[in-house]
Amino acid sequence: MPDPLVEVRGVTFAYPLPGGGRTIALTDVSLGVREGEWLAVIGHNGSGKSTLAKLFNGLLIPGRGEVIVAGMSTRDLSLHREIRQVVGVVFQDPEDQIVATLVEEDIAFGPENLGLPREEVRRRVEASIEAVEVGELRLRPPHQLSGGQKQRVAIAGVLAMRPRCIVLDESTAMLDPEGRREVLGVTRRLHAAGTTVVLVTHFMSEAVLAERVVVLAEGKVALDGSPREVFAQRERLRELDLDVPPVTAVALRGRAAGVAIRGLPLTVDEFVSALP
Amino acid sequence: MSEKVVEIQDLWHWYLRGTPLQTVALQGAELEIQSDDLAAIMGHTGSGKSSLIQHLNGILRPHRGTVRVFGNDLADPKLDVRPLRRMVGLVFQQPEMQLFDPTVGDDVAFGPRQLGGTPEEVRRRVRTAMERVGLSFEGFKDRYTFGLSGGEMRRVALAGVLALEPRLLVLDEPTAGLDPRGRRQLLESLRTIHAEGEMAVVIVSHDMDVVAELARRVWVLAGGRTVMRGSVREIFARVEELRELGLGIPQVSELAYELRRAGRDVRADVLTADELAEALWTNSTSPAA
Repeated sequence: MPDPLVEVRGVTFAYPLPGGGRTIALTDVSLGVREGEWLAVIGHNGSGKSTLAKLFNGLLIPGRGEVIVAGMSTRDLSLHREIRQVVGVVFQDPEDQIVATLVEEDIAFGPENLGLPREEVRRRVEASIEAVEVGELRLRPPHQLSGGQKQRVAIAGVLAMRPRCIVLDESTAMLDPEGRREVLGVTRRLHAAGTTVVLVTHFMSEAVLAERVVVLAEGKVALDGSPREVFAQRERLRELDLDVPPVTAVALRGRAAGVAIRGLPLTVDEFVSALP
Repeated sequence: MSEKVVEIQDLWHWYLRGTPLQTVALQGAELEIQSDDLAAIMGHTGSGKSSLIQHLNGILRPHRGTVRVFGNDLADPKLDVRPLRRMVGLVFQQPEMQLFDPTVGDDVAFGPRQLGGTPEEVRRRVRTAMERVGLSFEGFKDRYTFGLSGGEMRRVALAGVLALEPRLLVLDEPTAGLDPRGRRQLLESLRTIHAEGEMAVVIVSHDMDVVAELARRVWVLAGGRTVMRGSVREIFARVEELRELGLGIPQVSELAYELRRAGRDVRADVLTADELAEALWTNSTSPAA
């Protein structure tokens, strides 16, 4: 088996508190992300999800342990430029990530700062615009866009860096249903084209789209497996104050009442075909 | 006895009216709220939801049509909206961004102190408000505001509005960005507030699962108009129309709809996983076939 694209090895991370002392966000976490994988990370606020996302490209450096990205340790600050070309992060609020006054200039910001030739910048901007379907918005000021459109522009800005892995840190949390659909649609296409995806989310219905789900609780990995394996453990999830998607809850009720439901449906389509 | 506290008919509002950039935000919107209502306003981004609720306490005034709130005619330019603002508590998106006092109790007390009540009266209001949102007065009044979790901070902000003891509480996207636990606690708070507070509660939300769990009556806006109204069950049974409007559907309603399309005999107006399981497997012919 090849080395993981991103490997978190025995990482402990604590934030300093204003009045002195520290608050521990992650305790001895180990986790590998394979190239091409789609991983969902779920857990409550304070579980360490966002800390993990920021460790993935060196925005945070572990206190103990190591994060290795494509063979490079994030401890080596001289490698950060290269590491951030491998792993790009999209945050919750698109407003925090947009820097320019026109959509296409915003998308060009990253590659221009790499000092790439104008032709190459142009090529990357075009490809990114196409990937997130914002062609008709390219000359618009970003502040006039809807939330979903802004978030797609933010994704395009990250894609223009040609990352092998894209981390979406609650990137759909503030969006309306259409905005969420747009962003998830883009995510699906990127994954199909070979990009590694790490989706940090509060929505169980988004987690089921992934190939693998990691549940964080109090700074530790509480569950790690396929969506089916993870959502089969309803009792454990409830102990963590989480729950299965509603569709799965209906199926589990039926099974408890003796109905012969095939497998563990996680989506509406799966449920319809799982009924006897 | 319930009475009508909000009555909006044929409401029109334009932004940048009279300029070349004039755009219409509302074009014939309608809304009615009863004094004991627990209602939701849904609609796509840009449907006019925010413009509509800003008419409820006079932040916006109608350009055309009727807006009556607790008997006040908002179309009357001479109307003094200050008494209205005490009766209508508006909680904006991410209200925790507006907290400013380092101590929880003082932050919640800010409004009642402005109203000029006695210290005993202020204390009573703060205690009641905090307890309705599930923050014990003794346990939280001296806590450091900015050391709380996101969900707790949001409930502090809500308590600050409740301490003014409004008769109508309007919340814009109350659960956006909260984690599942914060979301559940906030919904419990809203149910308590509605049950004990003798006030009408209106949420604006595009989280359909929140609407399904909380609201009894639903108003749907699109393009500045009211396009659907009814009980929460009636509205979520109209899956195809909601989809056409680009709105989400609670997962349980969607599942019930797809099961009916696949030929199952399931009633359309189920809202929760338990109800759907019951509709599917109680009274059915042979469950464990």
